[in-house]
Amino acid sequence: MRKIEYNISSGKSIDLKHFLITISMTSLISFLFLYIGIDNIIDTNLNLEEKIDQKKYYDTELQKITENEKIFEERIEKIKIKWNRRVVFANSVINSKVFPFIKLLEHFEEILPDMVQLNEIFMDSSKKGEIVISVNSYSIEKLYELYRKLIDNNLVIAAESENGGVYRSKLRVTLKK
Amino acid sequence: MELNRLFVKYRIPEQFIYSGDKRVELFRIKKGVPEKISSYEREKSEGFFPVKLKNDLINTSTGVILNSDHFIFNLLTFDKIPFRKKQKDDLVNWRVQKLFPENINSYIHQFIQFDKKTILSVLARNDLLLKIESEAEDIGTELIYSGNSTIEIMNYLRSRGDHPDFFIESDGNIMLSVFFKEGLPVYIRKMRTASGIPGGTEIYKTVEYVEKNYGFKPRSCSVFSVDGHGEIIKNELREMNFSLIDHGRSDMRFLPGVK
Repeated sequence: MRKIEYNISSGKSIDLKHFLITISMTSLISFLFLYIGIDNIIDTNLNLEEKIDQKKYYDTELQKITENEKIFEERIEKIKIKWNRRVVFANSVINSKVFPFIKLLEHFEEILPDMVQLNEIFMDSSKKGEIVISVNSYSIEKLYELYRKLIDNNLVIAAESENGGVYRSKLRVTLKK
Repeated sequence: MELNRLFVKYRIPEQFIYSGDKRVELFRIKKGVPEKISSYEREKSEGFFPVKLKNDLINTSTGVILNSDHFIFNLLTFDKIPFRKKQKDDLVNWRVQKLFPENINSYIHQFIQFDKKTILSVLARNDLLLKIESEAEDIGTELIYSGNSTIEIMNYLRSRGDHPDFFIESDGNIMLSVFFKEGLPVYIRKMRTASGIPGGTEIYKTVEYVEKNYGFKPRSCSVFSVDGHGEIIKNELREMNFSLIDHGRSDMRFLPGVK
């Protein structure tokens, strides 16, 4: 409980001992706080500088990453294009695989009559199952026989000629599965 | 809190003159222990300090303690006391001026704040101070402390754990009772008795008044007396079934700095 002070004397004398002790203690505490304050400010400044350096480092790193990102994006784009091509190729291969040309050609060879020779065969990849063949025949009947066998294969006679008893014919047919 | 109070503390003198109602006594205090050096009956023609006292004074700091006869006490309660000193001073002065018939500018007005609502206003005439300081010069000493016995007793009680519900201070024909509720002063009554010995009836009436008006029953009591009336008052209180708290050195408890 705080002491009640009641002294109405006009000649009051200050207690110098108390005054000096209080002043010393207050000054000591003030200096202590000042020291702690300054120390804190210095620490804060050091930390700040450290943080600024860190920020600069991270900014540079970020810039590098951004630049790399562009490079990688370009690379990815190129890879995408390359892979798209491969996918297209793979699809075309798959499609080609799906259509059994070899088997059909074997069949075609079976139906080829005697005295009719296969000179040239050309596959048109743009038109599915369509082939262009050139044949030589030493008999017009045998050639007609081939025509008859190929009627069901959408036969189109592209060119026909005769030279020295050899009949040449260029045919366009569609092989069926 | 006023900052100057933190740094500035006034010296407590090594010797004290107690200028009572009928007696003047000289005390010396060494490390909180008081010693009565001399005691003189005061003649009516004499002022505060008899000339005989001059021989007993030593060349050291001196203080004077006066009894409550020279002071006017007013206990004031407020809803809220302002924190700022000027506002507080204005409010207390205004309130005291409303209660007090004379102009308070003729008085030294100081007040003591006990809590957020309670203030004890103490008035002493300006000429009282001039008179005691001039008389002190006449006996060859300079006063650095002029205090009041009741406030010093209150100070002493505040520093202790066994605070009584009220105390009685007796000096010659002057008797004063201070009542406390929860450690705060609630009622002060100053009495002047013709015989010099206060009657138990008067004390009982005062206790009854406090009981009716302040909502508590005072039970414990302390008596501080500088005359020989202390034991008589204590006996009367015992008869009225009050529990007495004896603090020891009850004839010196009005001296500041006494342990």
